[in-house]
Amino acid sequence: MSTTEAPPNTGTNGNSGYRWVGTRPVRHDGLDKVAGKARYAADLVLPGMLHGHIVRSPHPHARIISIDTSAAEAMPGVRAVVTGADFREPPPKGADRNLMCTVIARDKVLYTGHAVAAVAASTRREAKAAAEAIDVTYELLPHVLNIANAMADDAPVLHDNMFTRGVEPRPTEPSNVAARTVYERGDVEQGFAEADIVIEREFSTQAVHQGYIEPHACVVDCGQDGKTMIWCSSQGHFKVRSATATVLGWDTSQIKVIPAEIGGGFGGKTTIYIEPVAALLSTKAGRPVKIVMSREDVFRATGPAPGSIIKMKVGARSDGTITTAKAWLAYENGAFQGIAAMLGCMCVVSSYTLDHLYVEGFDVVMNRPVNVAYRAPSAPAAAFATESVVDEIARQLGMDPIDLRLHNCPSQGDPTPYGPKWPVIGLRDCLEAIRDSDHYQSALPSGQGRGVATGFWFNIGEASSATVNLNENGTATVITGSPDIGGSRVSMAIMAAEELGLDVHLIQPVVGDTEVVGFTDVTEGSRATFATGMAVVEACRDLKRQLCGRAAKTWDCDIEQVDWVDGAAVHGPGEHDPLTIAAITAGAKRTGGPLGATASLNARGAGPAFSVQVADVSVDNETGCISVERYTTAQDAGTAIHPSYVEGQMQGGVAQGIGWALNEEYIYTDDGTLENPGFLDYRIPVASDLPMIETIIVEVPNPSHPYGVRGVGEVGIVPPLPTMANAVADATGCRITDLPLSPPRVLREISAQG
Amino acid sequence: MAVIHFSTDQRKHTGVTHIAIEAATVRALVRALTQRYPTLNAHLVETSATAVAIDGELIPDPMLEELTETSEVHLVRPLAGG
Amino acid sequence: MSRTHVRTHVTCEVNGDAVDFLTEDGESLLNALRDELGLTGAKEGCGTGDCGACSIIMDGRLQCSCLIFAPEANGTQITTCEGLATAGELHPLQQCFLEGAALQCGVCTPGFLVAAKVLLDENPDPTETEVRYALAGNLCRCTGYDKIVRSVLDAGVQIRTSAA
Repeated sequence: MSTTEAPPNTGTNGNSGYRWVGTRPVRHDGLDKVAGKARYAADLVLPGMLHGHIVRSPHPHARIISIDTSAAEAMPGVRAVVTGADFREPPPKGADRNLMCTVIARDKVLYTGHAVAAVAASTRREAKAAAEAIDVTYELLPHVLNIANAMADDAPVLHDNMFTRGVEPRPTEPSNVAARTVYERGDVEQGFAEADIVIEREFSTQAVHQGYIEPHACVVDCGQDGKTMIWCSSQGHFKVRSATATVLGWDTSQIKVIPAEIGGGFGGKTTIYIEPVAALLSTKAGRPVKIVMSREDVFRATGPAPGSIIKMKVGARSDGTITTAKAWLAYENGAFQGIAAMLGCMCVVSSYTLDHLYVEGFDVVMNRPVNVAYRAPSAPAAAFATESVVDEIARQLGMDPIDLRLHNCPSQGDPTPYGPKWPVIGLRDCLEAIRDSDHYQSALPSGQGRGVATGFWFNIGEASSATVNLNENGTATVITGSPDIGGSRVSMAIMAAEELGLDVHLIQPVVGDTEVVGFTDVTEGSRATFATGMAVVEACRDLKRQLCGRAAKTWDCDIEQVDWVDGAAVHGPGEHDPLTIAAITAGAKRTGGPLGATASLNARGAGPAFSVQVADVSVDNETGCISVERYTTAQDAGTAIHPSYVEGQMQGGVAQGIGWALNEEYIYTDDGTLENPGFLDYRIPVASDLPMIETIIVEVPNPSHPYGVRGVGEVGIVPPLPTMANAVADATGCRITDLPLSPPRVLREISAQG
Repeated sequence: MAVIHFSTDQRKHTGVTHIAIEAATVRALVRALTQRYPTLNAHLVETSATAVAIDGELIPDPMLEELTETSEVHLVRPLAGG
Repeated sequence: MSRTHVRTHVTCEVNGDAVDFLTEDGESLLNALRDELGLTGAKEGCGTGDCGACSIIMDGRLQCSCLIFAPEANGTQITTCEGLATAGELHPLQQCFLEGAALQCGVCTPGFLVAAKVLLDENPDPTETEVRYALAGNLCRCTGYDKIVRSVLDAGVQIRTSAA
C-alpha cells in the first residue's frame, strides 16, 4: 500500500488547519465501481439459488376472495408458492400492520401493483410463468386516486378503522383523512391587518418517484435451523433485519443482513418490500431465493413521494416585512397513514421569522402505493408554495427577492414554525452567498428569466456505531453500519485520518453486516457523515488514548507525559523519539495486545440545513419547453468533509428537483392503472437536459459535531421546484401554480395570457 | 425550572401557552403534566406526540432524557427523513 | 415437469476472450453476460433500453444489451465495462471518473464509461454539448451529470495528450 501526499485542502475552510478534512481523496470503493466489479444485490449468485417472482394486483382497490395456486405449483421448476395466508396475521392497526400489509396484501389490495402472492422456481422464466398461472379472484371496490376525491364526504374509505387523529372530539365515522396537524403562533388576522399586500394562491404537485437506477433486489437463504442470511440493497440493513423479523414474527437474532452495494436510494430504500417474501419462499423451498424487482414493479409498488395541494396566504408590509402566513396543506399518503403533511407543516415557512402564523395539514390515504421518504420529504412541495408567493410579493413590492428574504431571515434563538428555537443556522450566509455569486451578479441574458428560492430541512441524528481496528502494519480498518449511498465511506476514512494522523489511504472504510458492527440506524435524514462520523471520531479518540498508553508503557513513563501529535506518540520531556502508529502496532503484543476501539452513540445536535438556489431559464413560446440555462446552488454543509461528494449531493438534489419541477409525475388512468411505469414515460432529467450545476459550499460549522458537520444529503432538492417556477414567471409573466411545468402546461398558460 | 411550551391543540387541555415545572427527567415531567392536566396525556397519544424537543433538539424516545433548570421543552411528533 | 425451451450455442468474443455459452431463445444478451459469463458490470436498470445501465459495445457500436437477444451475439466482438482497463492500467475515463468524483452509488457507472468510450473513440475532442447528447441515453440519478460530463471532457484531454 502506498501513501500519497495530502491533496490541497479545497473546501471553503481552506485555512481550517485540518490536514485531511476538506480534501478530495479518491474514494476507496471507487476502483471496483469503475471496473464493473462492485457487487450489488442482483449480482449475487448462490449455489442452488432459485428465482422469485411476485404476483401483483391489477386493481387499485379490491377484496381478495380467493387465490388458487394449484396450477402454479404443478409447473416446471416451481419449488415454492406463498400468499398472504402464509404470513402471520397483522395487528388491527398501526405501523406494523402497514408494513406487513405492504409486503403482501391480506384481505384487500389497496393499489395496482400491491403484492398478493409469490413463486420461487429454478429460473426467472419459470418463476414468471408460474406467477402468471396463479389465479386470484377479486371483488372490485370503488377507489380514490387523488386528495380531493379521497377527502370528499362520500369517498370510498380504504380503512374502516381510520378515524382522523388531531380532531377533537374524535370523529365517529371513518375517513381517508388519517391525521390533522396544526401549528399556530400569534394572530394571523392581526398579521393580515398589518399587511400592505396580501397574496393568496393554491398550489398542486404530483407524486414522483425517487428513481434510483438499481431496482430493489435481495438474495435470502434460510437454513434448516432457521438461521437466515439476507443480502440486499437497502439504506439500512439493521432496519431490514428488524422489519423482516416483524413481518415474519421471527427473532431478530436469527436474521443476518449483509449490505450489498446500494444503487441509489434517496429515501426510497429506507423500508422493505421483498425480503420477507424471499425468506418465506426460501424456507418453504429449502434453497436460497433471489428476488429482483422489474422497473415497472418499482414504479407501481415502491416509493413514491406524495403529491400535494397547498393553499398559501402571505401578508407583507411595503418595506418587505412579512407579517403573517396562513397555510392549508394536504398530502397524499398512499395506501397507509404517513406523516407527509405533518412534515410539510413543520417546514412550510421555515425560511421566515413570523410573529403570526397558522398552518394546518391533512394526511390523506388513497389507492396508491404507500409514501416512502424522498430526500427532505414533504419540504419541496411546501417550499414551492411559500417561495412562489414570496417571489410574487417581492415582485409586486419591486424588491430584490434575496433582499426581501434577508429582511425576514431567522437566525439563532428565533422560534421555528413548530415551536423550538433555531440553533446556529446558515440561511443568511446562503442568501448572501447567492447574492454575491458570479451568477447572480451577472446580467440576465436577454429573453431569459431568473428565479431564486430557499429550502430547509431538519437533518437528524439517531443511533450509530463504529469500530476502528489497527492492523499489525499500522494501517486501520474503519467499520460502520451505515450503507454508503453517495460516498460516505471515504468521509469516514477522512475523519479517521484527521483524528489519528494517518494517511487516508492507509485506512480501509468498510460497511459491516449486522453481526460485525453495532446497531446503526438507516442512512437517512442526512445523518451518515454527521452521526456515524461522530462514532468514528469517538472510536478514534479512544484509540489515541490507548496508543498513548502503549507508548507510555514502552517508555516506562506516565501517560500524562505522552501527547498524540501528527500520527505519533510524542514524549513530552523529549527523551524518546516519537512512536508512530506502525511502530506501536508492530510491538502491540508486548504492550497489551491488538488495538481496537468501538463507539456507539445516539447522535445529538443534528444541524438544520438550508439551501438557496438561482436559475436562469428560457421558455420556447411555441412548444412550452423550458431550458435550464444556468443554475447555482449554495448550501450550508457545516463543514465539508470531502467537498467533491458534498458538491455531488448538492448537484444530485438539484437535478432531482428540476425533474420534479419540469417533467416527473405519476399519471394514473381513471381505473387506477399507472400509465407511466417506466423511464420512457416517467422522464427523469438526462445529461442533455441540464447545464453544469454550480455549487457554493457554505460552511457554518455545527457546534455539536467534532468537525462541524451538518449533513448535506437532502436539502438540495427543496428549492428547485419554486426556483424553476419563479424563473418561468420572470421569463413569461405566467405564475404557474401546478407542477410539473411540462411543455403542454406551460404552453397552455402562455397562450391563456395571450 | 424547565419550561414546557404547548401547541395550539395542547393548549385546549392546559389552558396556558407554557408552564415552568420542576422535573429532572422527561418522565417526571410527563407525570407532573398528567397530574396537572388529566386529559393531556390522552391527547398526546391521540396526536402521536410521543417525542419532545429539548432546547430545539428533537428526541424520538425521550422518557429518560434529563432536564436542566433552563431546558425549554416542546411536545412533538417524531420525525423521519430521506 | 420437463423443460421444452431450446438452448442455442453462442460463440463470440468478449473483452478479447473467445467465449461460448448456451442460452434460451428470447433471453437477453444482458442476462447471458451476467448469468452465463459472470460479467455483472452491466446492470439492468429498466429492461426496456431507457436507462443505459446495461450499455456494451458490440462490433464497435454502443448498444443496450437488454434489448439484444443473446443468440444475436453469435460471431460478434463485445466490450463490457470489465474490458476497459488493460493489463492493470485503467482507461483514462476510469481514472478521470475516480479523480473527478463522477460516481456516487456507482450502479450507472459501467454504462456511462462504455457510452463515453464510444464517444471518445469517435471524437476525442467533444464539446460539453456533444458529451451531454452522447450520454443522454444513460440515466444517472445521483450526480446531476455535472461531474460525469467534466470527467469525460478531462479524459478527452488525457487521451489527446497521450496520443500527441
